[in-house]
Amino acid sequence: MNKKPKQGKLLTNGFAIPTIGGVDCVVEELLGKGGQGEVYKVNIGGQHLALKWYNERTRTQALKTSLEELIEMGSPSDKFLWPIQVIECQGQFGYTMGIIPAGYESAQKVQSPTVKLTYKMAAKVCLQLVDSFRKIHAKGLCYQDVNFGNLFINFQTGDILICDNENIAPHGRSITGVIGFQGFMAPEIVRGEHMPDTQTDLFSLAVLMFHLLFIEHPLDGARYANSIMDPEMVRKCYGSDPLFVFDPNDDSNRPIKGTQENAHIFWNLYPQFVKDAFTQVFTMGLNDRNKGRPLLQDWIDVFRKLQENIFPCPHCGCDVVYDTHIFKQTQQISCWRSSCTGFGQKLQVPPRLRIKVGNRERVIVLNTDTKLFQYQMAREPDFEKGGKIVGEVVRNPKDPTKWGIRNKTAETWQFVSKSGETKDVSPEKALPLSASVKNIDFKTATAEIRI
Amino acid sequence: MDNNDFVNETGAVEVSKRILRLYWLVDVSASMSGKKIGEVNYAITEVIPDLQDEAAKNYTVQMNVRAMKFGKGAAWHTSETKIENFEWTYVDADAPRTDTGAALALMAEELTEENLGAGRGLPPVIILMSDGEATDDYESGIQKLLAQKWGRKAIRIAIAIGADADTEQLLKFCSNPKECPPIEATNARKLVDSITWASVAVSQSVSQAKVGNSEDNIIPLPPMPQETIALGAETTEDEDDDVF
Ligand SMILES: [Zn+2]
Repeated sequence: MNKKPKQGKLLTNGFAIPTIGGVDCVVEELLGKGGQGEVYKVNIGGQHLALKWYNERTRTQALKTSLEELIEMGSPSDKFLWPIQVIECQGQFGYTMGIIPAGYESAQKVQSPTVKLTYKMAAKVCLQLVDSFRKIHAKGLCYQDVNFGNLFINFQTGDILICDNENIAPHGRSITGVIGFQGFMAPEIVRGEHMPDTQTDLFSLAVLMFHLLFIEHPLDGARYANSIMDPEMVRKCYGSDPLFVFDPNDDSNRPIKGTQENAHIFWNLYPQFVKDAFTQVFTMGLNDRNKGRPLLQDWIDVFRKLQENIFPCPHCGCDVVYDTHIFKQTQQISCWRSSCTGFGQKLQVPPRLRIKVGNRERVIVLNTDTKLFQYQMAREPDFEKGGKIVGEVVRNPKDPTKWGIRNKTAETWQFVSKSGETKDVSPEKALPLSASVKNIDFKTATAEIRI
Repeated sequence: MDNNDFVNETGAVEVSKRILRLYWLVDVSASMSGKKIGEVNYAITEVIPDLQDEAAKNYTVQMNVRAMKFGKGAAWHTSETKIENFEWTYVDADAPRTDTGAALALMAEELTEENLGAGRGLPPVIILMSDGEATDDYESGIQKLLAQKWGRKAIRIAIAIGADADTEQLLKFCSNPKECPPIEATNARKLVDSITWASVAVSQSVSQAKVGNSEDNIIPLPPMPQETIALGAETTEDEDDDVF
């Protein structure tokens, strides 16, 4: 069915706005509207873009200047639908940006009954999100307006896109007057004590990630089961008296059984180290804005650890997380699917590699397709080069029942064999995955194999 | 394992949404007949797709709407319906009276705790549209409405249609009389704009749980749209400026 092009209130469809580049910006149709203005689909010299056009209340010189600065600075990465050009006409203005490509959907879709993030997707989405914030914070800016509406996810690939970037501004300053979205704002903003800054970004980001993983809101639980959410209650819930739904010392605000069941379901699915990070930000981090909130690097560690500890259930093939906390408590890892024969049973866990860099330790589950990355071996991981592959799990071509880790670096690795002899693993050679391999020396790191 | 399998296996349930109820209270006294009631019908028809678009994007709030007409007494025009299923049937205006008091009393009956439960809802939005002075006991209607918890917490917006509307009376209905006194819709375009604003923008503010900076318990209302002419519009005679 061909829908009639939608007409907005600010620009007329078919209207051609002259641009500085000399090519007209032709308005095609209204894509959406919000409190700040309207977004149109436009055609500039054959290229389709989105044009956000501000209403009278929003279009200020400060906003225009800020937009021009953002454009001048350029997009921090391809995860942002960054402003491309300011377009002006008759004292009004707006800016162009890319159109959200097909396949991307609002992150809010995780709240629909059919879409949820798997462990791998959750880790991938959150890592991109955290890394995007890192790139903004590294420029001395903060995002300020974190909410579900600004994040788009390709639920097939796990790729993300962040839009509405015009609210990005220097630490502690708000250009558009936007101070955030209710429920995502840090308590100190709700209480009127602070303007948005990198610290409040850390809180908002945690709320967004909590929603992505656990579906419900981290502060809105049983306490509010019988409240009308009027401003007084909203302020209490998010600002003056916030209480984490999974607070370990106070269970009075747990997600409502049945009604907010998803939060219970998904909380139980995640390993302790993920829950610990969220518990920190929503307990200590509610009041101690300076030291209580996990930093971006902490979140990167958490979600990389999640990625590194996934393995397929030997019974059903679905992803299971190797949670050392559970393992220490129960001496086993089980499949979480109630329909699997491995449910509640001790699963055969793949070999693990325990890597030590200085005094930092990490355990990586070695699956048949596991890659080792530079960041796992480096003392001070370089963000840009951290994703470089330095090793990969391979099968021994002479004996397919045996596995090893191929050295993808230019250095020679070493290990001590069963007989006590030090052996070399030169580039492109494979270190055998065997319990008798000791004292692995990756040059920048040492390691042990656990089978 | 693909996403569907994963979702099925987790046992994930549908998110339980908070309900946002939007009520349209339409004056159908004879003085509304003709252009005014036509514009009200038109505005509501036009605003439904916008509300449906908003609803489709919101997985945490369920918007339900219900319409009432009042003239000689008051009666529900529709049942409470999810916005995605809502269809508007035109109302006619031929009543010999303007029983606004009866409308408010009927609204109060709707908003009892027995009817709506104790909570986990959002403040309802009630839009009262009238072009005249109440012909019955307006005061007692207001008292009944405010006696209900949901009635007190409701965002109550009045639209005064045309020059003869009793704005002083309507002012008593408004939940935020200072910042949002009765909207004076003195022409057709203003009427459509104000119905759209009160329905879409106000309910957006409620569902996003906006709070003001002050400590009071008033939901800050988004500013009314200014009358603007879209850039690039053909400048024709403005036919919308007739006082009616
Ligand atoms: Zn299984």
